[in-house]
Amino acid sequence: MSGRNIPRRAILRGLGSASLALPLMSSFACTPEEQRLIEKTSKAEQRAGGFPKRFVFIYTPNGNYTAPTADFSGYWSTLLPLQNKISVLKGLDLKACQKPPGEPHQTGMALLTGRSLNPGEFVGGDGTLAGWGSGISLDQELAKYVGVMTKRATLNLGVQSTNYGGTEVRTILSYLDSDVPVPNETNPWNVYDALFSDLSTDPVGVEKLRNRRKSVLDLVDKKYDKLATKVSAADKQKLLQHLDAVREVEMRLDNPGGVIGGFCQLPEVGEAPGAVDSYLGDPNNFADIGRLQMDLLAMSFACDLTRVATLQWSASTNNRPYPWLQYQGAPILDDEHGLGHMPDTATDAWGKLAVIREWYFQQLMYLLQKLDAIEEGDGTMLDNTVVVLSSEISRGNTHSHMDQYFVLAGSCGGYLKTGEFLQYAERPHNALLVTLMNAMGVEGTAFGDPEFNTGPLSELVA
Amino acid sequence: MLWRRPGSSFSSCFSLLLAAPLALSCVGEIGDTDGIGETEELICGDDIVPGASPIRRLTKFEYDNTIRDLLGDETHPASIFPAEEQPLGFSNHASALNVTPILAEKYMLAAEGVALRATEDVHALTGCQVAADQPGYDACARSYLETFAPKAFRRPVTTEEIEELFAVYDSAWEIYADELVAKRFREGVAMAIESALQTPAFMYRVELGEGLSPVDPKAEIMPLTSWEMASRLSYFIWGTMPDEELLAFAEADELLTKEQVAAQARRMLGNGKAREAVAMFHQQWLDYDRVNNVTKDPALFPEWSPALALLMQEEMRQFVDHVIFDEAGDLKTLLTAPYSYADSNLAIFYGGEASGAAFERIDFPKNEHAGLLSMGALLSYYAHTNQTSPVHRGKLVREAFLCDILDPPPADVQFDLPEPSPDSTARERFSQHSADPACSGCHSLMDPLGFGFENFDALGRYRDKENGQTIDASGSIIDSDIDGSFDGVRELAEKLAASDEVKACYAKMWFRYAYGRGEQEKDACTLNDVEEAFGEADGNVKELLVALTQTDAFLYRFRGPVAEGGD
Repeated sequence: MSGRNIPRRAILRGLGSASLALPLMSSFACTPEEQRLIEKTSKAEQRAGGFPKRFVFIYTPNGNYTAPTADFSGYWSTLLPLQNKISVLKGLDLKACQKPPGEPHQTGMALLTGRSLNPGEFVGGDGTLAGWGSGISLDQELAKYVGVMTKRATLNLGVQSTNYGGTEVRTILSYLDSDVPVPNETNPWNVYDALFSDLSTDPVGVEKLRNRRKSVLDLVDKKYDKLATKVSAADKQKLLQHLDAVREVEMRLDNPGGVIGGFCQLPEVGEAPGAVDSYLGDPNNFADIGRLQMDLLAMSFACDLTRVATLQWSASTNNRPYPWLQYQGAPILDDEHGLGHMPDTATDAWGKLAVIREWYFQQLMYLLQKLDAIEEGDGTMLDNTVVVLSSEISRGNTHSHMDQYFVLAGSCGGYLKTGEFLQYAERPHNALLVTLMNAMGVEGTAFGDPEFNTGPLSELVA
Repeated sequence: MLWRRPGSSFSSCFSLLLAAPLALSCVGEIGDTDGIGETEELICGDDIVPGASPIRRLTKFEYDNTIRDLLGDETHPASIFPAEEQPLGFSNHASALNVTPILAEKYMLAAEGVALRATEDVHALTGCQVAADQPGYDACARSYLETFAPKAFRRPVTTEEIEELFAVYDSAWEIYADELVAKRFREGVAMAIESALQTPAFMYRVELGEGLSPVDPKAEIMPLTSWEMASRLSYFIWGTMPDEELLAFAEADELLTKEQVAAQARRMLGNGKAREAVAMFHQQWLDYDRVNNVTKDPALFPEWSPALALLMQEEMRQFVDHVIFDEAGDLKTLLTAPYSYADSNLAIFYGGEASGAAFERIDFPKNEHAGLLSMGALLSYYAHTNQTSPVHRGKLVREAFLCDILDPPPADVQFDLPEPSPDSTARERFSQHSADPACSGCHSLMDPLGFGFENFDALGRYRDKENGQTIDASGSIIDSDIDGSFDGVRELAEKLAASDEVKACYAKMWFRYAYGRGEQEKDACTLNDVEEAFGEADGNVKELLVALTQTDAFLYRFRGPVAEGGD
């Protein structure tokens, strides 16, 4: 855990002990630490018109976007309908991703941690070894403050993001801590079950279920706590991590989520296909799965089930085709990663990549327009949110982490300027991470590797 | 860096000096993960050196199997858990088995589902009379938990543990106070099951060595209790909890000696559950289920379909299963068998004749087929959508069969994948691509190997000609103990089957799977023992598994300094 903040365990311990008094709940004395956290949290909750702020990070693989221009030329014009709510940042460098160990597709997954990877045993797309991320990611950091009140601290969604080759560091954006990855949920029907299935049941039943789970988990909690004292230091760390996870589940039992009504409605996901695993693995279903995940994401915001989300389109290095997209009348069956390796002069390859990038922008617009259709006070949910899109590398045929592009949408409750086109040179992207952290109401002047601490991007702040 | 390969000539009691890594710059090896990295002289046979012994959590595969054997529930409840990571190829790698809140929540939901199904007829489950009063129900619950808990925890339980579970059961009577008595009983039993299934005694293989003493002066190395050994054996060989017989041996404390452990290992290999675990190893080693994600250019390959991919996956599973359990049982046959298993559709696809609807053995002309190397599930995955990929096929051999780790291409490499054309062969197209001196250094490890597969098209079908030209399937291999040229997959397979390096690699893969971790320098004796036994058994896979139960890594546990106090 980062030293600046109260360790999650300390908070959970306080709340966890409340659950011992079954079946009563919730009243317990705050320690000074907890009191500080609650104050800080309510600060983070400062919002226009009583609506919460939300954060979304969207990952698309392999970079390969054409350079953005202030007039949204080329397929960037896909974003024009929401031009006034979007800012484009050009020229930030993923400097933390330049540090070894790991190959560029691995290290680039440090997008949200702003720190290099740990050494480890994951074999990269082409052989290099690396481990997990070496620190907490921005989404999880935010969740410590804005995630306390919701059913889920964060929602980490993937679209076929574990579905190629070995699954390892390239399938993960989010970390609770060094070496503690947060896996993506890649099955929309499971997401529905976990988030929405108990929203519509009767209040008495919900209350019983909550008490039941508290009683069941109370013993589970105790057993991990006790065993952890009897084992080696390394095993102890594993068991305490499990214990923390159980305590987080216990704590969230008191946050069953919003009430159905208004903009909060059960999302329509339909029945899961019979052979769900093979459905989820088939490249032909990439777009449909993504659509469902975005619907679930938007609705979990509307029902206030979470306020922090990530959406990872494919694993990094994505070497899969886009058979539903057409280039010059034929489906795109090439390995996307391979296309990006082609020289700039390979017209067809870059033509295909342009079709794919345009499609990703269309997906972004789908989510943004959904959020923008939800009214909150004088504005929309999009206005109270910041949605960020980027990739692990900037360009496939250089594998560079320099001159990365970030698309930002929404002002995060008026904190961020929108409609801006900002160009940077040599500025580490950690500066953006700290700006986003501040935008969400969490104080601080640095995020990630201290070597790349240049403070926030003041020109982006309204 | 890791010591590479001792060769098969070493005796079991020799002084093994850890050698320097090999020099070729394109190839790396797995680093020593404990960060110590000192070169120490191990006296194999004298010192007991178990290597790291991390606590191991049930994988999805093991969870499903255990629930099946514990409660007869075959619904695969672990399917809702997130995808597992596979560092070094295997999902049971202890260091990657982290638990996040999402996973803990899924454990809760899975346990609720299991308990709900288990208690559908709670009276039958507990042997309790219908319409008992509360004291009657309580007695039933306690008695049921006394039977259930030791099975679930795979060891005897204390009175305190029973009382803890009973307290969870008892809380149902308050929570469901407005419900009928039978309902309260059912929910109580279900809740106790839910708790048990989430505690570490169920979720982890807890090894504390209670009642035993360390075997070394530093007091860091522990023997295992018979109960702990029962679980080690059953999760390694079966991927599930111990059966009655294994538990009876544990009860009698007769899983202590090497001979006792080997006898059980051999018995267990005769049980169908071993087939499932061995299948799981091979699926993860070669990742052949990835064939289900393969797409092909429909204009060139209209025959390709998801249904065909599933058949190929099944072919691979059946081939491995039959070779290891019903046929010769050795690595050589896996590599060289001129036959496979297919149903009618798949047989016709491969150019054979229709047989029955069921999978059965099909024989190929001997010079056209060689075991694993000719499997459609691998050859279609290690190919492009529109043509073969000698590079990827060569890389497969280097990584899966020689355990090489190849360096990545330079980050700024710009490769122009050649378009298939009607007047050239893949060999011509790809030879040109790797002629560039910047590429050829590393590609010389892969491409000449991969050209040997050219008799198999992008879907894994045998062919003599490409675009009217006779296939040249000559290839060569360097930086191995079988350097030299060969013609086609058949000769390559014979070479691989004769290689000590390939045998050592296969054994190393099994090491990783068996012990849930990467090999380290201090595992040199264990690896050496295993390779030697594998050699003496003429490459018999079942004997390799037995050998993996006879090592320091399996028979002992490195506990290190015990953590002090609570958290």
